[in-house]
Amino acid sequence: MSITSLGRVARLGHLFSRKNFYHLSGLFFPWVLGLAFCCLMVGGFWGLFWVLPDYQQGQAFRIMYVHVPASILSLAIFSIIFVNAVIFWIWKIKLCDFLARSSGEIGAVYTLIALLTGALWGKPMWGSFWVWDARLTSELILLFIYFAYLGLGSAIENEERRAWAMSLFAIVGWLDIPIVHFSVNFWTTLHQGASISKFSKPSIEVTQLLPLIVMILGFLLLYLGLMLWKCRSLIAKQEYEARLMER
Amino acid sequence: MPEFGSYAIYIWLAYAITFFLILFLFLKSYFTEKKIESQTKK
Repeated sequence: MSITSLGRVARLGHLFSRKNFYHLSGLFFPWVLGLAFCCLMVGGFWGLFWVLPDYQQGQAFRIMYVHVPASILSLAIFSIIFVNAVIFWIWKIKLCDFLARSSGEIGAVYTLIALLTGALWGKPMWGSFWVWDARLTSELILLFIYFAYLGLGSAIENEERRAWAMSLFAIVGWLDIPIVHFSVNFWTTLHQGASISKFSKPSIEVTQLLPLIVMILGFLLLYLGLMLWKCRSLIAKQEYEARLMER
Repeated sequence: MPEFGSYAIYIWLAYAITFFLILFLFLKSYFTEKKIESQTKK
């Protein structure tokens, strides 16, 4: 590797240092949260009041605008935790451990939203709040995995052992994600199959799809904003504890 | 504004649950930051 390339790598490493991340995230997170708020307001009102009722499900389909974004993000956030855990496991980059930890709580709440709004959608459509369907059960297991991940974080006091245990748990726990995603293909389920992920021909009307995209963007930005905010707090807490130890 | 009819309770409950859980996340982040700020000032 040439000296110039080494310099570039060093500069990149400096950009992702905890100190730089702390300052950069402080600049960005209020704007990201503001943008998320705008998307959620626009998408929420659009889906709730302006979109015409569905020809089969009538008005009940409006629950989709909170259920689907929360479900998608519940899977995506755990995948982000998984990627950060793998990077931390291999290269021991502390920032990745902070990013994974900050995402856990948000992912757990999104999974809870997905399950509760799914139950409220299930009652008028299926006649029951809950069925032991493959998709619903695997999503419930995902919620327990999130709880266990968070519990593990608060149970271990030693910082290094905690980071090691949480990243190992995230890597093993991620195995549930493909099961949740493909459960509707692997088993005969009451839950419907993919409808918006078929980008070539989504089985959803475009006027219903647009507010859904705005809501997904809103949930994504909200996650990013809250994650940056939480990560900053974790960095500040660790710096404070490190200074206390030095005294 | 559309009439939600017999589905109104389910729709409003779904949106209310989402709103309060998001509010919980926001407030928790806010109070965590304030707590750490007060600790570091001491």
